[in-house]
Amino acid sequence: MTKLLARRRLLTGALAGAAGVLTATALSGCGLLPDGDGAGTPEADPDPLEPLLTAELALVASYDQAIAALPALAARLRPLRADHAAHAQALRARIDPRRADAIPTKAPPGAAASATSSTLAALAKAERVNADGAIKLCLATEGERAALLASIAACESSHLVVLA
Amino acid sequence: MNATPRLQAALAAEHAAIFGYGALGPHLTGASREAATETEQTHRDRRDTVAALLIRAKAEPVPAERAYALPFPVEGRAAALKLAIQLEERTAAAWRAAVPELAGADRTLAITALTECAVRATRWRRALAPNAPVTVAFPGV
Repeated sequence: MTKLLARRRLLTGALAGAAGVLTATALSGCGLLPDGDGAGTPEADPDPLEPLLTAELALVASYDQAIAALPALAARLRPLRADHAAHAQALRARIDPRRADAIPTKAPPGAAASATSSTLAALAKAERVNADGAIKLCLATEGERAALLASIAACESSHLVVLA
Repeated sequence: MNATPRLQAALAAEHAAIFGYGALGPHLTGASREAATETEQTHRDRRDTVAALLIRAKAEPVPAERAYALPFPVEGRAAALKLAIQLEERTAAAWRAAVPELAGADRTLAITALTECAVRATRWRRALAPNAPVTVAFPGV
């Protein structure tokens, strides 16, 4: 339903644009279609990938915090952080920019798990939760997105080898 | 749904992996040797599962080749580990490609297979070069 509405809004926007051209060239002063409210961008529906994008960004923040707190682990943790940053980038690229642009590129402060002596265990837990979320999403989606989500879940499981 | 060709490709990759582990195993010792033996059995089990799926779909499972050309000569530990990594990466790619074509329990099987390949590839990479990055962001790509 919301999808239909969004599509209709999109269509109206496109027609309003076409009407604008018509008005300027041939039908000056005589609007073929109502101009609409003039606000440029129609809204997009929420994307099911959005929560996973947010979760990946939170993981990046958790790794940043762990690396800052435990420099001895930096060499081990940095490649894992890079994997999550790549996941976030891939997810963002598949979300309508009208929605994706509203999601900050960095997780808000406080999203990261606290760095303690159990940092590795906390990271491993977060990896497991994220992998499960990616699998659930994978089972409910189609096409290339499903393959991407399967890869993300597989990557996060492989991180457990490094965190163990 | 175009599951059958993807499952056949996954089966072919499993056949190749079984052959490859047979070739590389003798070049490893200790825990790595044990892991290789275990992994070969895991690929055999997966092969049987996929073959059964194909039969259920009334397709004839592709047979194994009699022999496979190894991508490079496998002499010594490093080459054996490199081959193990490559086998897991190729099998991962076949399973990843199958994911969108499968549904329900079959898709779960493909995700599990992809995940296990990624985990094993990471273990082998770490055995080969513990200080280099041992994971990839998108296993199977």
